[in-house]
Order: sequence, then C-alpha cells, then structure tokens
Amino acid sequence: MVAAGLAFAFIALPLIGLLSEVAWSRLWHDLTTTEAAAALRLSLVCSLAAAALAFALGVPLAWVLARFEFPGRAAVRALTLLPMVLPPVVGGVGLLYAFGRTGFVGARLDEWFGIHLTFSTAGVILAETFVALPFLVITVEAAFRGLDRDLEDAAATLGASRRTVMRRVTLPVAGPAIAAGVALAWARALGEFGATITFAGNIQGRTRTVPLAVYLFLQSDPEVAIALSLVLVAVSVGVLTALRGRWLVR
Amino acid sequence: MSLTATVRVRQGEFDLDVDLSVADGEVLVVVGANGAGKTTLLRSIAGLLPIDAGVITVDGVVVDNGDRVSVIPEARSVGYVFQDQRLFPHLSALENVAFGLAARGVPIDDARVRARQELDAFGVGESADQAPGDLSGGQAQRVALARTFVTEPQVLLLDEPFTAVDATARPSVRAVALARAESIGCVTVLVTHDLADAPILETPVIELVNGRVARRGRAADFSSK
Repeated sequence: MVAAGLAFAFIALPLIGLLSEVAWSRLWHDLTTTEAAAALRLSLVCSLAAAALAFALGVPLAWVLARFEFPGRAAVRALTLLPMVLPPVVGGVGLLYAFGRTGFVGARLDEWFGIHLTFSTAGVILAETFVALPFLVITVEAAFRGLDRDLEDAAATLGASRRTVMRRVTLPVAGPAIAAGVALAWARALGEFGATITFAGNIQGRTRTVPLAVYLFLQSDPEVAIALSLVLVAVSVGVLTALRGRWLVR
Repeated sequence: MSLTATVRVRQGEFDLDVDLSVADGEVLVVVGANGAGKTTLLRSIAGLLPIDAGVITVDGVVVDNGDRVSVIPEARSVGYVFQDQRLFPHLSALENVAFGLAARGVPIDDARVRARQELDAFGVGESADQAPGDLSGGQAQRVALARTFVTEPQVLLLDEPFTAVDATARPSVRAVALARAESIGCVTVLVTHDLADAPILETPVIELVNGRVARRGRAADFSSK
C-alpha cells in the first residue's frame, strides 16, 4: 500500500510541481510571445501532418500484418514497433543516415528532386511520424484482428466488392480503434523531442516545435517554458480522457 | 434456376464430403447435429470457403471446381442468411437492407425504398431506423432475412434462419420467407433443426452426419421417424 502510494506520488508530484509554477495571470501573454506562438503553430501543423501520414501509411500496414501470413511477418511487426522502445535520439541518427543529405535515400532525393529533409519542417514531420507510427499500427492491427470476419463475408455475399467491403464495413467497424490509434499517434508526435532535434535541428519557425522550445526556454525564460509545458499536459490529459471515454473505446 | 454441388472440404481433422442438387424453385432442407458440417457446406456454396475438390454449378455454370475456377462470393448471386444474423452494427436496419442493392449499383434512394418494402414484408418496417444493437433477436433475424431477400439472389442459403424468431411468430416469418423465395424463383438450401420449417411434406431433405450425407428423403419420411 505504501509502495503504491509512493508510485502514485512519483507520477503526480512533477505535475503538481509544474502546476504550482504556472504564472496563471500571464499565461496568455507567455503563450502569445512571438517565439512561443511560432512553436505552437509549428507543433500543431507538424503533429497533425504526422498523424495524417501515420494514418495513411499505418492503416495499410496494420491491415497486412493482421490479415496476411507471410514469411518474416513476426520480424516485420517487431521492427515496426521498434520506435516505441528505441531511444528517439537513435531514431534521429538513423533518419539522418537514411534521409539526411548524405543518406542513401536523402542523397537521391537531393539529386533527383532537390529535396532536403534535414533542418526543414518536412524533416520534423518525418521524425514525428517515425516515432508515432507504431502506436497507430499496434492499435489498428489489434482492431483488424478482433473484427468479426463474418461481417465482411456477409457483405461479400450481398454483392459488395472487396473495396466496398473495406470502405463500408471494415473501416467503419474498426473506426473507433482507428480514431484511438490516430489520437495516440498525434499525442506522441506532439511530444516528440529526440528524433526531431537530431534529424531536423532547432530552427525557430521551421523546426523548433513546442518540446524543443520548452527545453530552450527553460534556460532563458522559464515562465514561457512552463506555459508551453502546460499546453502539452492539457493535450495529453485531453487525449487520455477521450481514449478512456465511450467516444473511442467502446 | 438450379444448383448442383459436389463438395469436398478438409478442415484439419474434419472432412466434408457431400453432393446435392436442388431443382428449379425447389427447397432443400439440410438437417444434422452441430458439427455435422452444415455451415461449412453453406459457406462453400457461397464461395466463402474454397472447396478442395468437387464442382459447384449454379444454373449450369461452374462457379467452383476446386481448381482453376472459383467465382468470388460477390459475383455468385448467392444470398446467405447467417445463423446469428451478422447485421452491420454501424448501420441502421434500413441501411443494412439497402446495403446489398447499393453495392450492386442501385441508386441509394431506390435502394432505400426497396429496403423499406422488404422490411415491411417481414413485419419489421417500424424498426427501420433502429440500430441492430437495439433490436430483439427476432427482429434482428427478420432484418437479416430482408437484407438477403431484397437482393433477389439465384441461390438462397439459409442457416437456421428462424431459430431467433419466437415460436408464435415463426410460422408467419417462415411463410413470408418461403413465399418470397418462390416469387424470386431461386433455389433454396435451408439448414434447420426443425422439420416444420420444410414448406411441404414432399420437400427433399438430407441429413448430414460427420460431414457425410447419412440419409436422403422427403420431409414426410423424416418427421414420421
């Protein structure tokens, strides 16, 4: 019982510490300073883009993992989930040597299309997608596995093509789980720090997202750092509440 | 319309080895204990389960020969009423019934009109806007029947379609279903535990035991036993 109390306190105390330091009267002012607002705007755009990209790529991958047996499926799944446990900095280093200017993909992108991902907003989106994708895949794969296959069979006997079955039965029935996966991926993308700073750098208005700004402001202007932290806490609590509510998990 | 099926399916330890034929407009009743292979048989005719050997023809056209030919379920014109309905949980009763027509390219407004008529025919018109989760077992079963009948398939596969309907309503639901099958002119394979589901005493019946046809006869022969 004591250990349980300690565990809870361990989680709760940092939050209380953060909340006790918030300058509530100046909160709005702190959040609307040029630098803070730029970070918030950038974070919103990048995390939403990363969540969308994770959705577009992750749902098909989850589908393949859930429905097709092929050699090496376990290895593919393990590799897909790796970013969940991989230190984000290491992920950033990996991204650098794949998509960086001298990386084997990045060099081609530069050569053929003149695209540079490092130190760009697109690079932030890429780094955030990298860490967020597994959260979506693991959630949606479980949903596809748990789906009643007879529903799809019923749709097929009613004359629905595979595409129609997917669009009108499979995806809507798995919809709540997909929404949960997108929400998780979005929350993870929003908080991304290590891979972002390693791969995309820390340039105001271009790659300095809220977590990077928090880290920076902690040294120069702690009040703004705390205000920005509060935003991230609020979003996390919001996502968690939504996931636990009836809206997403039935 | 006619159906012939020589079906061999191996599923682990279980072997299904059945041949049957249903003539134009006829109903074939299939009885047998749980695990005798009744549902496996229906699934293979529907194309949901590929057969390992044999041949299935609908109106003389081969739809599966266990080898090269295997027509996908959506192209078979086979209607299948599942034992536990399997209504789409995210669609209303009306949208469930309109689903098949819409999937076959009927404009959605026309599909809804016909879906409503079919629900009315099965006595559940007033439940049109309800979600499947809010329907009683008997109502859900009628909606499931309407959903399949509205597509007017050439072959109708019914898996215990009246079990969920309470005993007092069963004769009327059965009468509607059999009358609709007759008006469509389809062949019907009816899996049931209750020989009273057979439309007439002359209705052909097969009994499955362990994946084999143990007995063939007429409804009258089976009920008198």
